[in-house]
Amino acid sequence: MGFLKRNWLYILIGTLLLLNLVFEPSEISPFPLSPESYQDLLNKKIKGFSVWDINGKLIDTRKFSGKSTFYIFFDPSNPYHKEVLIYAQVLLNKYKRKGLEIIGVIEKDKERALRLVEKGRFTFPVINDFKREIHNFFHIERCCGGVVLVGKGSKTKFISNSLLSPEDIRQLVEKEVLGRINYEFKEPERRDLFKINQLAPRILLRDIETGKVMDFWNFEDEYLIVSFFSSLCSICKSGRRIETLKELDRRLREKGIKAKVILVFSEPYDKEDIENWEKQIKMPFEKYISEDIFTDEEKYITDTSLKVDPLTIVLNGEREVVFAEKLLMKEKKILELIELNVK
Amino acid sequence: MRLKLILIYLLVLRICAGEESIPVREIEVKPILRVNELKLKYNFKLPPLNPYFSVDSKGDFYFVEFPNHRILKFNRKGNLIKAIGSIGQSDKDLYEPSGLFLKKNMIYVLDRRGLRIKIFSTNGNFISSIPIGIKNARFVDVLAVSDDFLFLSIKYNTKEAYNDKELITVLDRKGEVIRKIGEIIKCNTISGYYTFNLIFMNVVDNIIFGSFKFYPVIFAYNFNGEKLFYKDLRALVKEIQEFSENNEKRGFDKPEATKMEWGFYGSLYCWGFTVDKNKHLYYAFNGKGKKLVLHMNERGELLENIIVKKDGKDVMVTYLLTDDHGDCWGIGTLDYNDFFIFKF
Repeated sequence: MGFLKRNWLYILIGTLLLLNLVFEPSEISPFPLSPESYQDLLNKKIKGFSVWDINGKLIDTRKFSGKSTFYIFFDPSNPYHKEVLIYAQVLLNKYKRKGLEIIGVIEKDKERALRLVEKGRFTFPVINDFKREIHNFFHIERCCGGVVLVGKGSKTKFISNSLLSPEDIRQLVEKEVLGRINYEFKEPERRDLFKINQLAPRILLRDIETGKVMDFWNFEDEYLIVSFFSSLCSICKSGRRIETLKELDRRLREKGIKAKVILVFSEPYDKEDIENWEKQIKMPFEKYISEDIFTDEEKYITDTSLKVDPLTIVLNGEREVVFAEKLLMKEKKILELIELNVK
Repeated sequence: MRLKLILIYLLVLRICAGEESIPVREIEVKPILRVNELKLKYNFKLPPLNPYFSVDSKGDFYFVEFPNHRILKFNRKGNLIKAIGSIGQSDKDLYEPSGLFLKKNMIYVLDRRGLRIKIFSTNGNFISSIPIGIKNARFVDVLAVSDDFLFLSIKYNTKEAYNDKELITVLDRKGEVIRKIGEIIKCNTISGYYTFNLIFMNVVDNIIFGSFKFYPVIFAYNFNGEKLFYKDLRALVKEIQEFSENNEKRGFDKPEATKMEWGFYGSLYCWGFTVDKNKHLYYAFNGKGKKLVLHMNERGELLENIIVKKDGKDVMVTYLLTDDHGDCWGIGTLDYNDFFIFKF
């Protein structure tokens, strides 16, 4: 008895730990072995399961019975995946009351995912499937993300082993929760932020090295050449735009013109993404991150094709726009026009 | 003396033959339907080039609206009659429709991501869904249908791009693979392989006619896979030769020289290709300032160059199609903005 009295606290903690072990939710044990093809899973009833999310909260998918649950498999270090998640949150805000639920699933980079959840103010849970049990079950490959829709009757209605575009997710969500798809949806247009001979709008830029926040007026150079990079811009990714900017920089130096070239990465980039990118292509210019100038959240989704196009602008000493790239402008033309406008 | 005369005659003939130019025929066409009007009226999303488009026996038009995963049916006045399918994976749904073929008033749709061929009636009723019996398909493109068989261009998941003799996959009506045929254009990268081996394909009397989009070659195979012809158009058409030389200077027209990965290589040679009921081939080429439709016989011999005109101006033909009756249709534009459908 004396032993119990002396050690009651340790005994209590030990008992609680034991209970916790016994009742800890199994990790996706309801899932059978992976079928041969994800198509074999379509229209099959999926048993609910319990799992911890990355915040340590217990998620029991049985609670989502009667709701339309989208599992979004993503890589927290992939800028495009992050972009899709931002739209998923917008869709969730809009359709939560109509029974939409979203569950994010990652297999690595828990810390990055936590930062993303915080930064994006995501209200949906993110599961760390580091054993790839859910991934393997739905045939989600390592590279590409994926989307699984489990309908109101707990049956799988859609499985994609690559991440869908935001627009495809919107269509699937609307079809599922509204029973119809709004095809009249007006695509947002790129905001015409940079008008020739007008002052540039104030855009906050965060230096990726120092974290210092500044705007165009903080630079002392006579001309500021700003190239906006987005996650889908192929000319940016292939390095073609960098080559153009390097050539431009060389020519302007030869002429003795004081001009600075900077790269501005639209959100959701973070420093690590840019460093990863730089392992493939050297980008010998100062790099900044800005708010996504292409996204208009009020319209709740953006046609990603708009982001495919690169955008380079030139501001003079007064920070007036003297050049703004137009859609489909060729690299050679950009060089010519900038040289013409920067004297 | 007689022998000498014969020799001189043959020599003259040879010289004349060498200088013989390809006949050029101009045809004036009338727009039947303006695609831009459909876009404005219905916010309809049509890719500017290589649309999936077809015509039925009533003269109603069908377009794949790829971003919205559906088929839109319009009458000749441009009124939307029916929208068929929407994003999804049930039988009636479509997921990246990327091939359209009308035969005997049935609509065959290649459901690329669903790896199925969906069949609908022309009034939009779902008829059946044929699973494509292939596990290692990486990219499926182009659909042609004969009475008994289905023809697809499938790029297989292989470690190398050199999976030759697999340009076209022939399936039975249950979706089982019957055979694979056709030489591919070899190149060093997977993406180059995809680019150079994108094709147009028509099947007439079980002869498979086709053209590479990004390489100036046309071909025909019989159903057993025996090559009937394989012609490099650079040897036939001066403009294509010049276009190719210019591209080679820029370094992206030699698949074997392609080193980078995950780019999109090559330049578009074939903008449209079709075969009419007489097995005559039509090949749309726009390059070096020339807008031509090459007209060839069933052996791939060039008969004439057609210049399509609208209001006296040269039309850039961006798509060609043969309907179920064997009549030819096209989509063209004068200025890259106003795309219109015409018959020729």
